[in-house]
Amino acid sequence: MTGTPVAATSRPDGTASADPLLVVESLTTTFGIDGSEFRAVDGVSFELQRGATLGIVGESGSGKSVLTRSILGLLRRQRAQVTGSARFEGRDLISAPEKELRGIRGAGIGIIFQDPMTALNPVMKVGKQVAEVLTVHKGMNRAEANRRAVELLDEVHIPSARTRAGQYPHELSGGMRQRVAIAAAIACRPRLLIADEATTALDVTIQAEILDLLDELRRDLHMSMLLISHDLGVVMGRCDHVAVMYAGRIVELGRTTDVLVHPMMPYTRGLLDAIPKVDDPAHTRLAVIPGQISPAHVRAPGCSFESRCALADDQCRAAAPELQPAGAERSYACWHPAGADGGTVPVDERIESTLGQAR
Amino acid sequence: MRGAVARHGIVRTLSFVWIALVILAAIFASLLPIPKPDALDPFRRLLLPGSAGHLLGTDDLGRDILSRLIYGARVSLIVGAASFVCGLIAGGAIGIVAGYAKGKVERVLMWAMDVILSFPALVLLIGLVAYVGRSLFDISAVLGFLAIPIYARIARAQTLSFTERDFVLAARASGSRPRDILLYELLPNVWPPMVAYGLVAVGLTIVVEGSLSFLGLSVSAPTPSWGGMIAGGENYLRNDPGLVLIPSAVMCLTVLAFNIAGEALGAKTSKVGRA
Repeated sequence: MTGTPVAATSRPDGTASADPLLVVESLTTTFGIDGSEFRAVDGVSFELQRGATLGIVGESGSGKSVLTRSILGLLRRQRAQVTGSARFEGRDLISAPEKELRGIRGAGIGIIFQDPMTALNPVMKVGKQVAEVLTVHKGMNRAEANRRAVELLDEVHIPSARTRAGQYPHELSGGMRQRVAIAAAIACRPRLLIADEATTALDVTIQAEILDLLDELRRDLHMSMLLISHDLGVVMGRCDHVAVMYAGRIVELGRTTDVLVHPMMPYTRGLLDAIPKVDDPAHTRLAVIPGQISPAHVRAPGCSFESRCALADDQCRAAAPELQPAGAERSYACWHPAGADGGTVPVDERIESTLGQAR
Repeated sequence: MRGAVARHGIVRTLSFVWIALVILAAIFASLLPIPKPDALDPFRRLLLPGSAGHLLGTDDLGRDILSRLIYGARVSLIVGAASFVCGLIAGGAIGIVAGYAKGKVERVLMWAMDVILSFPALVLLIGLVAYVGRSLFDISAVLGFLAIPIYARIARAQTLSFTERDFVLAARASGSRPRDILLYELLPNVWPPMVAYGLVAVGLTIVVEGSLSFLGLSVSAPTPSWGGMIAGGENYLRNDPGLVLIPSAVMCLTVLAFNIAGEALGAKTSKVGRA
């Protein structure tokens, strides 16, 4: 998939900016496994405006995490080949030397990982782990950094931050640990915060708290955010735009409300149908998308979703659909988009209500 | 159940107490009310344990066995400590770098370690000692050198299990340099299990030094060592088995104590690592 039209996202207020914070173009990440090649990310392009939030949704193995790690150059130690470009504030991260990247990681771009159990060093006090980022980037001395670390822990609403700073990760709950990881990620006031499945390992109630915290920090610190999740519910209502990934490609992209209310790609539709309804009668079977992402289909010439798609025909098997624009800030990759033949997909009340709550 | 746990605790405590006792006795040997280890008493040869003035008896030259045991502990402990320190520092550094760097650096370093490991230890020891010398320093240096590859392997294995953890990735994602990652992220996680193993290795080194002494290849004659005492008592095994059994028992207890201490520490560190 080359020459993909750049799916542009605009500012939350609707005005497109000429100076996006992050521009990813035709990003492709290939792993060599036992002589054969596997494209984990396949020609992904998107733009992220300053102050905006983009949600990236997709199931396990769709390439979400590889995408963020490629952008940050974290795959350089693995034998991964990354092509394309990812320009952050005008600087291409893919071709940047490691030394330059180190100055951007943590300082310009902060990232939070999935599992707070493993994202903190078990033998280091949490305050020191936050302070470490400050000594690396701001050149603060230890005392100064420690003082600032306590302020940061306070900023992410950790009660009695001073005491907590002197504790080890195993003395903190999962939610607390994720707050510590967030404090470390925002320590240097990055312009972009990447939350890579940041709430997946947490209880649902804690999830909401953490997402609220991220929202609050993003607004207060004027950050842009990439919110990556397999859970459409997490992304709904918290992102201005959403990109749906499947088998390493973006298959649908647009304003969150547009995508959720009028999904064009059958995969997006399937993801929405899989969200259980509160008012469903008891013992209603969950709607599922049969099968899983198969490496064989990723390599086949056709659409990678073909084997799992009810609408698949010969055209789908012959060639992969390109991501094509459909109106303002909207694009999709499908030969049989819903709504294209004039019919409108009925608005699902549960999405409406979810969005209503979120607003 | 409770009894078993308690007994376990006692064995552990006794081990630490024994180690402390041996170390303190070795350090303050000259202050203790015992004869000099090389003081000959030709009229009181081969005394049995419990004799007046010689708590554990005397050997074939009339030298006090307790005194020789205590001074002999110095050799065992110095050699053990040397291998511990060498292994921990050099082996640890090589292992962590190899585990984190991967690729060519790892291959070259671990290849070098494998070469050292692949020689039969005792043959290599005898060769090295013949070449380098037999002073306490030489023996310590050689045993320390031979300890490096094993520590390096453990450090590398530990490092490998940590480099793919999220907190190392998080450190890289926050702009830490490789040097900082090695020092602040990996080292604090890698050294505790190495110390635990190290205590077991100290016991092993004491046995190896004992074997060298027994073969007459370690520190030379007037300096007492446990292995040397066992070798010296060999001819009297039938009539005066204490000459062999007492130093053997002391060595055995010491090695056992180091093993138990190492295991206790290992259990503790693995608990911390999981948290």
